[in-house]
Amino acid sequence: MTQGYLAIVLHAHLPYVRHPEHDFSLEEKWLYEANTECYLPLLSTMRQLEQENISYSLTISLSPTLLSMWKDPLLQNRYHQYLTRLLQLNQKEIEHTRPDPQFGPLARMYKKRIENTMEQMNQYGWDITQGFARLADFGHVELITTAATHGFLPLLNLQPAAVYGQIRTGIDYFKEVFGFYPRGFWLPECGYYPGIENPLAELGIEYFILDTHGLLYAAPRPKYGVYSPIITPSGAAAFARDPESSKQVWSSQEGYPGDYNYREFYRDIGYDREMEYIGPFLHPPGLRGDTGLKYYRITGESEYKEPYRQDIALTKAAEHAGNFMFNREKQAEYLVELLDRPPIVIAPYDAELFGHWWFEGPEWLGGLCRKIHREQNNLKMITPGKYLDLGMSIQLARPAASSWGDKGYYEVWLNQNNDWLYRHLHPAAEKMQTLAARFPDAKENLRLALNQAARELLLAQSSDWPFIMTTGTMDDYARRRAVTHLTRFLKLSAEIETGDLDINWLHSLAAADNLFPNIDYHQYLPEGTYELYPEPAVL
Amino acid sequence: MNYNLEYLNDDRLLPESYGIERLILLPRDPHWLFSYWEITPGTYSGLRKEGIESLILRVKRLSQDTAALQSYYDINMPRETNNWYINTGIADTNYQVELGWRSPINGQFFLIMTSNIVRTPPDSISRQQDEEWMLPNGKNQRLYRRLVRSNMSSFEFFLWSRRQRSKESVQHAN
Repeated sequence: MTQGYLAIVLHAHLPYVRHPEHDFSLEEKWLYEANTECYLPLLSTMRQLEQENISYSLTISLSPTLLSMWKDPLLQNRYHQYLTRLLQLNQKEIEHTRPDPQFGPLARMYKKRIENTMEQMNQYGWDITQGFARLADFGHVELITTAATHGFLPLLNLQPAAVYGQIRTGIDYFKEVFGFYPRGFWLPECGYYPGIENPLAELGIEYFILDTHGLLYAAPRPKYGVYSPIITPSGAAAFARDPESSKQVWSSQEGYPGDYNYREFYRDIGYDREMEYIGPFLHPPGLRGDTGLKYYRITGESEYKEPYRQDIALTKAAEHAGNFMFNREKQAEYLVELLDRPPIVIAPYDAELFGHWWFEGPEWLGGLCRKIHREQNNLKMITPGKYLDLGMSIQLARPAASSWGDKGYYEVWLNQNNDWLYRHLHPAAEKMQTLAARFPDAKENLRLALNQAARELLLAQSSDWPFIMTTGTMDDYARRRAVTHLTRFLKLSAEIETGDLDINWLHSLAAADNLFPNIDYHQYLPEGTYELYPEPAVL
Repeated sequence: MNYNLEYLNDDRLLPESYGIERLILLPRDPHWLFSYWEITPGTYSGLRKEGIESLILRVKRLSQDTAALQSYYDINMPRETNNWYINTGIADTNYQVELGWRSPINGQFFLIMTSNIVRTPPDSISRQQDEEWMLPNGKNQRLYRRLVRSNMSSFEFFLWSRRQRSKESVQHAN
C-alpha cells in the first residue's frame, strides 16, 4: 500500500545570455557548461531509465529563456564549437596523462562523456528541447515552465499587466516549443504574493510551488502542513517544499554533495596547466577559467587533494540514493500515523546543481528512481499533476507571501544594492501598457517596434539581475544588462510615440535580442481586452 | 547584421526622473517596507520657495477590511531624499504611506501624495482554523512542531549552495 508520495522537481533556468557582438562571452559559457554538465547528463540519466523500463516520476521546469537559447541557431553553433574544442583539449590530455595510472583513466572517462554529449546533440539536431520533448512523450516526466524571463513577480505586480506579460509570454512560448500547455508553473524564486494565482488559473495553470512557509503560514491553517496541496480561491493548487528532504541533500553539515569521495569542483586543469599548453583551449583563449576537466576528489577540508576515483564516487552516490529513500520511507511512516491520507513530499532543486558542482548528482537521481521502482511498496514517485489526478479532496486556503531566497521573503531582490532598479522597471511597464492602448492596430515596422519593446521590457525584468547585484559577483554585468534593456526600451518607446522609427537600429536590435519570436504586444492591453486561452482547467 | 554594442545601445544613461509625481510602497519582508518616490521640479521649487528643508513620510497602519486608519507615525528626512526603508515591525498588516511637509510656521502637515496600499507578509502560523480541516487530538501540533523545527534551518542550504555559486562566478571572473 502506498504510504507516501515523493515529487522531485528540478527547476532549470539561466538568464538570456546571448552575445552575438562578442566572439567569446563568459556568460554564454554558463550555458555551454550547464548543457555539458547538467542538462545533457540529466537527459541521459532519464533516457537510461526509460530503456530499463523503470517506472519513475520527475517534474522538470524549463525556463523560457533557457528554451530560447536552446532553440537559437547561433548558440547551437557556438556550443558545437565549444564541445569540439573541449574534445580536442581532452585528446591532448589523453596523450599527456597516458603513462599515469591515476590520471590516464580520468582523461579517458571525460573522453567518453564528451563523445556521448556530442552523440546526444547530434540526435537532437543540436536542439536540446528535442531531447526533453521526446522524454515527455514517455509520460514519466512532467514538463512545466516559469515566467518569461524569470521576473521576480512580487516586486513587479504594481502593474498587473507586467505580471501577466511575464506569465503569458512564458506559457505561450512553452506551448510553441512543446506543442502542449504546461499543467504547472514554477514561480521564479518561489516568489509568491497573494493574488498571483488569479492570472495563473486564468491561463490554465493547475498548480504552482511555494517555499515551506508559503503554505505553513497560509490561512486558514492547512490541515496537512506541507504534505498535501491546498487549493487557492482562483482554482489553482499550491504545493510546498518539504524542509526535511531539502536539508538532507543540501545542508552544509549533513548534505550529500560534500562527501569527500565526490569530485572536487574547484580543481580544474584550466587553472592547473601551463598557459602555453592550455591557453588556446580556454574560453576566451588565454583567460584562465574552468574547462570542466577536473581530476580530483574533495578529499578533505585542506588544499591537499587526491585523484578522483569514479568507481568509489558512484558507489557513494548509490549509497546516498539509498539513504535518501530510507529517510523518505521513515518520514512517510511517521507522517501517515499523523495524517489521514498519504503525504506528498515535494523536493524542489535547482537543476544546475546536479552535475555541475555535484558531479555525481545525475547518477544519484537515477539511482534513487531505480531503487524506489525496485524496492518500494510504501513510497511512490509522483508529479504534482498526477497527484491532482488522484482526485483527493483539497483544502481551500490562501497562501502567504514568501520566496525561497535568503530570509524567505523579498529582500534578496530588494535591498540597497538593487532597489534603484524598480524606479525604472515600474514606469517602463506602465509605458508599455500606454503604448499598447494607444497603438492597438499597429502594422509592419510599428508593430515590430512594439513587440521589440515588449522583449526589452521582459529582459530588463529578469530576477537574475537584482539577484547578481545582491551577491556582488559579476555585478557589473548584471547592472549593464538591466540598464541596456531599459535604455533600449526607452529609445524604442520614444520613437514609437513620435512615429520616428530608426528602422536599421530596430532590425539589428530584433536580431540581437531575438527571443520569443511570436510575442504579441497586445498582451499589455488592459485586462480582458486580449483574448484569453486556453480554457481554465477544471479541478 | 551590425552587432556593434555601441550602435545597439543608447549612450544616454537612465533618466533620473520620469516627470511623474509618484509615491510607491513595496513590502520587503514581514517587518520592513520600502518606499520610493519622484517629486516633480515644480513641486520642488515650491518647497524651496517655502523654505522647506525636510520631507515627512507618514506611515499609516490600516485596518484589514475597511482600510480605516489605525495609527500612524512620521519620519523626517532631508528634502532631496527619494527612497526609504521603513521598519514597521508588524507582520500581516496593511500599510500606506503619505509624503508631505510640515509648515515651519504652525507645524501643519501638507500632503504631496499618497502611495498604494501593501500588506506585510505573515511571519507565523495562522490562528484561523477551518473546522472541517483539522487533525484530531493534538496531531496538528505535532505535525507543525516538526515542520517549524526543520524549517528553522532550511534556508541554510540555499545560502550555502548560492555561496558555492558565487565562488564559482568569482572564478569565472578571474
